[in-house]
Amino acid sequence: MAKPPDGHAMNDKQVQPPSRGADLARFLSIGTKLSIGVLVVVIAVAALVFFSLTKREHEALLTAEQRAGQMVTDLVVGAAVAPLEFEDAEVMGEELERLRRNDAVNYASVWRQTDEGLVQLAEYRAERYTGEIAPPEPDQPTVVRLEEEMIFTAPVVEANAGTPLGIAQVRLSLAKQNAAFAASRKLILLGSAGVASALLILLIGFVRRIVVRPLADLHDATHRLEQGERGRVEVTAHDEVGRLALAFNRMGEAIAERELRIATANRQLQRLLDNMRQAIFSFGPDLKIRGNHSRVTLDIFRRGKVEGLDVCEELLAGHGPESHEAEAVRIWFEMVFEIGAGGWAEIVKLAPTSLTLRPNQADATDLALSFRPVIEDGELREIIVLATDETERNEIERQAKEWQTKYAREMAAMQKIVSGGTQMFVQFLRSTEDRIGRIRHLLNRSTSLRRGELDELFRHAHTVKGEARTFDLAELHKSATRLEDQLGRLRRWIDEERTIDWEPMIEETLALLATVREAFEATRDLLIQASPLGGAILEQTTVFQSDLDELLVAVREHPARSATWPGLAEIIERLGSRPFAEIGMRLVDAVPTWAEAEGKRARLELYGGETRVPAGLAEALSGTLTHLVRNAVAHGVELPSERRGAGKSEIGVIRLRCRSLAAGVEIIVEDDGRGLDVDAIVEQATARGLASVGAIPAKLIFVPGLTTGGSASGLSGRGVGLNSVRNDMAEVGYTTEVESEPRKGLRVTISPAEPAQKI
Amino acid sequence: MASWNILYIDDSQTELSTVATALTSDGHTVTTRPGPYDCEEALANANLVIIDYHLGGTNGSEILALLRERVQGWTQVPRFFLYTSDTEVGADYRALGFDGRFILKGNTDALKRQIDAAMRIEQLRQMRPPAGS
Repeated sequence: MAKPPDGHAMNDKQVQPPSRGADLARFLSIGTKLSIGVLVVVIAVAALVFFSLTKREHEALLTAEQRAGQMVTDLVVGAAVAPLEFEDAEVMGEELERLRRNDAVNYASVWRQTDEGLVQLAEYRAERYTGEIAPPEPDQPTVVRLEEEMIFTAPVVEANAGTPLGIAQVRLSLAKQNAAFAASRKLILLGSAGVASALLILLIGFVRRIVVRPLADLHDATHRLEQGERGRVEVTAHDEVGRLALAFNRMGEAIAERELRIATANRQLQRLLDNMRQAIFSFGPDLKIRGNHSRVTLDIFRRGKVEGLDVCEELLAGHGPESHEAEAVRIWFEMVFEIGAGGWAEIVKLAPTSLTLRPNQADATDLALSFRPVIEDGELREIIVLATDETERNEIERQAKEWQTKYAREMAAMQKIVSGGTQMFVQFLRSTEDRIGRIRHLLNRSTSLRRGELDELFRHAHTVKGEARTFDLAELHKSATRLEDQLGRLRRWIDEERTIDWEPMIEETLALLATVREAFEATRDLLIQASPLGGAILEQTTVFQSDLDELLVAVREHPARSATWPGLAEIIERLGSRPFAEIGMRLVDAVPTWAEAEGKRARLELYGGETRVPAGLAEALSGTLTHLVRNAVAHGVELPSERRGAGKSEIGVIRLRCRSLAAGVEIIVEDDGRGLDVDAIVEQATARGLASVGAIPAKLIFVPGLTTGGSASGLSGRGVGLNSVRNDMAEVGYTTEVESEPRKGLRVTISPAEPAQKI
Repeated sequence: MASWNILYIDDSQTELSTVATALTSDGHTVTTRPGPYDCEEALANANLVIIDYHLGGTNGSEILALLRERVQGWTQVPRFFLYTSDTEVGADYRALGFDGRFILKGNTDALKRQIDAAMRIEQLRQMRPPAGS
């Protein structure tokens, strides 16, 4: 069913299409309708009068003629008695001939009643009247009215006995009467029309004066009211129309008064809004900003008018499509009315609380935002936005920051770092110094640079840059960025296969590195200045408080026994221990470079980084791990093509694991490479007389002198320097064992020696 | 305020420490790793995995591929976001397979704001009524 605007369902009656007549009637004015109505009535009445008058006139004429005709007939009857008795047709004819003087008589005749019926005795016929005339019927009425004549028929009876002698008939012409009637009707018609017209004019004029014109005035006044003008109607009568006009005038006054109150309230509201320092505006489900808003709203959006603008587009002006903040704001605006009043409490928590307006990239306005719902009848109708411009405050803050000198800012950053814990920063300084050293080493030893070397250089520069920014070290960040850009450029040139003049490029890169070094040293000096410990801060290390407390107690309570007390040795040992990650992390960067130099791909994974490695082992472990890992890269990890053929990933994985044991730590170095070629090892060792038949291959590889130097692929696995590894570990009380699975990989396990095994 | 479980992978210990500190102060639970290993538990609990791009021996794309393989078939999979100051790489984050990216690497305030916005987006998407309702 159709639904009208007020929401009520229509019934069948209301949906019936209007008739054409009713349709036409809707467009006629009331004056026209009244005029038509009056016209119809007047014409009807006039017609009625006309027909009534003409009928009476006609009847009168005919009645008079009938009386005359009756008299003539009586005369003829009287004159016919004797001729009929004596059957004297001549006399009868003479009598009838006298009727010639009456020019109304068309015909007269007398018939004699005989046994054979009626026989005509005599007739008179006017010259104009022709045709056979039949004798009258026995039951013929005495008077017959026809259109052109009237027929009178009367019996002739004997005077004394009353015996029927015959019948007399007279026919009178109605020509004269008809002509008189026609003339009379014309007059009546003219008279009726004239009266009707006059009546029509009077009635229409009257109706126009008392109904149509007042209604037209009322309509004009309503139209003026609709246009917002003051509409008042002159009241000239006290009838229904007059009372309607009075009611209209009162209504107009009431509307004017209400409008005045509303306008006053709006002005007060606007004054209130305009004096608020916040932008206050609202929007509806169409996300268009509505009319009422504070003046500050125009300032914030830099518009002359905001009504009708899309609130989301205005708030996100200048934000790129990839901005997470912009996406979150868009989604919130899309959903807020969808969620509605019921979900307001939840969704308002996800509303944006701050935004930066960027209508053009040069100017930005920082806004703090707050949203309030307008809920009516349980529905969310509108949302009011309160936006506070915080640009000025933020700008002051920004200026305050910029006002600090570079030195003062870095000093403040240093002091923050110092007060918050310098260990991380010291670690950063150490690793940065290492990286700078590594970069310089690579640049100084090379007359040209390969892609792999450039990758390593780039990574170092990139890391220095990133870490410098983290610590807000502007100069170091800037110089590292320039170095990174230079290295990035060189990488691209290699990829583009450009011819590079390396000598000046390397010189240029070293110059950039020098600026990095300068910024780094300035940072380090700044730390020393900022720290209450001075230069000693660079020597600080991590010591566990519990260990220190225990040591102090031991020293104080047993000063004489402190040197030989077993517990004390353990504590001291722990104080000197290092996290395994500190020893192994440097290899993470190195492995990919070593692999690339061999035409391979490999990475290092480190597990158990927090495990504490005893001091004695830690000193020797660095070199040992380097040795084992280099071996893994050189001899263990296969070429990418070989690995693919073996169903392995192209990237070889070398893992360093460290876990605590009661007697120390266990360290495992394992790879997923080709493992030991056992047969080749045994053959070589036996051929060289380095081992007896039946020797275990895993032990043979530790035999001194078993080396790949100059040999064929017989030692395609390990064999280089493992003897020295074992010895180094043994010196610090650790054993080294090797397990291999051909084509699967190799594992070297370093674990605490049994007491009998210790050297 | 809502918080997330975040796994952050970067080869810079400094970055790992500062980011962990900054995000933990915002109420998030942060696990840091120098590489895509020894992180199964953190990955299983993570709402968000943030990956640096330039790492020793590998790059963010390869790490992403590894991790995506690990989470294949899981009912709840974290979002993987790229975090790099390399603008060229960053612009291609979608092509590289990441769900999103964070910019301004090194600026922990900016990172906190971006994570907050990403969280709000996630929550808004969960609140959205199903289509046709």
